[in-house]
Amino acid sequence: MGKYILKRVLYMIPLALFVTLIIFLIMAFTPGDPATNNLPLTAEPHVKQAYNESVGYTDKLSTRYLNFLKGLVKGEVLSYSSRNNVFDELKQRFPLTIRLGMLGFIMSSIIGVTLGIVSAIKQHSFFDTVTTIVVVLFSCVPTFFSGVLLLLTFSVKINWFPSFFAVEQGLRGLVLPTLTTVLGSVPTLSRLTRSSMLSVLNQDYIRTARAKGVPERSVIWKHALKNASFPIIMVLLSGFAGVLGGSIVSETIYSVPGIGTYMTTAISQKNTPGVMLCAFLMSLVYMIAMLLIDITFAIVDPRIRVRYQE
Amino acid sequence: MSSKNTYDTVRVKNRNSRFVDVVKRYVRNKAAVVGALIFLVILFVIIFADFIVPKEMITAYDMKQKMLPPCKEHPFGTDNIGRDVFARIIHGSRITVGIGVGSTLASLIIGATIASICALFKSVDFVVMRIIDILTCVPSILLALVILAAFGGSVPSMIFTLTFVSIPGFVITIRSILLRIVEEDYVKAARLSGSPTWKLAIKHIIPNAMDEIIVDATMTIAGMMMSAAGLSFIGMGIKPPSPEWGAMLNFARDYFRTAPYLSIIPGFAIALTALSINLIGDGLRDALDPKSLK
Repeated sequence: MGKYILKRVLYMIPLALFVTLIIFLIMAFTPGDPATNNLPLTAEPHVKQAYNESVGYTDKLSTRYLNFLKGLVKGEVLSYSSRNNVFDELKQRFPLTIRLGMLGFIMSSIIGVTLGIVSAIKQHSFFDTVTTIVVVLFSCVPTFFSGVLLLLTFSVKINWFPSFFAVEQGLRGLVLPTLTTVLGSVPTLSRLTRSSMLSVLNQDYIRTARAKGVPERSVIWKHALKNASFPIIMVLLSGFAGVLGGSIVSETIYSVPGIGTYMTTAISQKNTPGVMLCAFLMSLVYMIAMLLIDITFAIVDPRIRVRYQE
Repeated sequence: MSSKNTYDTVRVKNRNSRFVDVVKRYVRNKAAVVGALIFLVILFVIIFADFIVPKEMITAYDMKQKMLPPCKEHPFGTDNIGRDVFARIIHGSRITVGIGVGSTLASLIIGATIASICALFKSVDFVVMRIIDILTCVPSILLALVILAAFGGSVPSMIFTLTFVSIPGFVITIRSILLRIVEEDYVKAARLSGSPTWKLAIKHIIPNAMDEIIVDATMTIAGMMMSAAGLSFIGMGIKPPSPEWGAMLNFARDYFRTAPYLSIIPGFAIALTALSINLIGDGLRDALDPKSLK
């Protein structure tokens, strides 16, 4: 197992670099250059040329990518737009996005999985029907719209929470963005949890357990949940990716100075190194999450553990 | 023996065609019927948009009548330069729903082709799956933003972006459906009884896979629509003068304190369309596969 984890960790770096290469190539072969997107429209052509040369945009493709790699090792990647170190620019933004993402992920996992499990156990009950209807309705409300609605009710109509984010507000400022992410991902999570739990509950061994008189509580906790945990973890995996993406939207709505808003500006300013560094960090976080999920699988399922030990 | 045979023939005579069966099961599902009705209305709006409101109304503005809340002449009110929101919503339906359907169809066709090639040839499969492994490590929203920024916020580039980003997902789902069906007992039985591969594909694998793929694709339309609107909302997709619903929401953001209806109406339009499509998808799944009925 240890050897396997080590292999996966070592595999992560080249994979994340490959991701940056893909982003780099797309940004390199598409129209636009840093000068046009950063300088005022009236800038003279020679000024633009000088700008592009000074940030290193006119270098050969290979040199530019190698410069990025060197910068990555040294911890100093220069932005094309502000010419500052992107690492410094991200230093405050990255923890904010991660905090927002993790908060949203944990909250929506707890709510989504609980709702899914309870409505599967009490299938056809009043609770189940109501949850299913609410979940279907909410799954059709896009994150950006529920965000706007939350903003309208909680910060315009009743002034409970601020309508834009400021670091000094602490947790209060994070409530609405987190709620937005939660509203966006709970429907999918609870729906998938419910169906995977139901498919386990319809298995023969559950019927056997019930038939031989195992108390219902132990049927659910020992037999059903243990077997359903595998697909549920799988569901959480897809939820994590969704939360990472969804936080970009809630960051935009509440103007949270996180990675998402940085990335959208970096893309429109043709700040290739900035975008690449964001991509690198985001894919690393994503891959670490995947690895954690794989490790959890191995802990939960002895069959998988055996496969890794070979 | 003979009695069993008569029983079989009687049953065959009374059996409806599969299509009728599916329609019957679908109609029994109230939510699915509601979804279909809502979608029919939306479809009507999309087809006859020009007859409901003339196309010029999208851009026609009247500064004297700006920021009017919903009233008799303007059922959905007017925006900051006095354009009629109702006309914009009606004509925006073509763009938003069009992007959803277009990108789903495109990624379905490309994804299904790649998936079938993968299911047929082991060597191709290995290479394609490794590429997909890498592509899934790129956060899809990042990929979408970069491509969109490069090609600009037009409808074709939006469709291209969404297609490109969702092909890996389609390949993974369709490939797993195909691989599972190939392993089913009835396919094995047909193969053992000597059916050639093409006959296996046409008679058993494609019809059985089709059901699941249709359901999956229907649900994807709503997702694609919402992603397109979301990308426009954060200002990276279709740009505001266009009546695309997400772009309208993005534009309304500056006015949500003074004119909340400017945000609520397009948002509600997106949610209602997505709801109708998802209800149809759910209904189709239950109607096509009676075993999944809970």
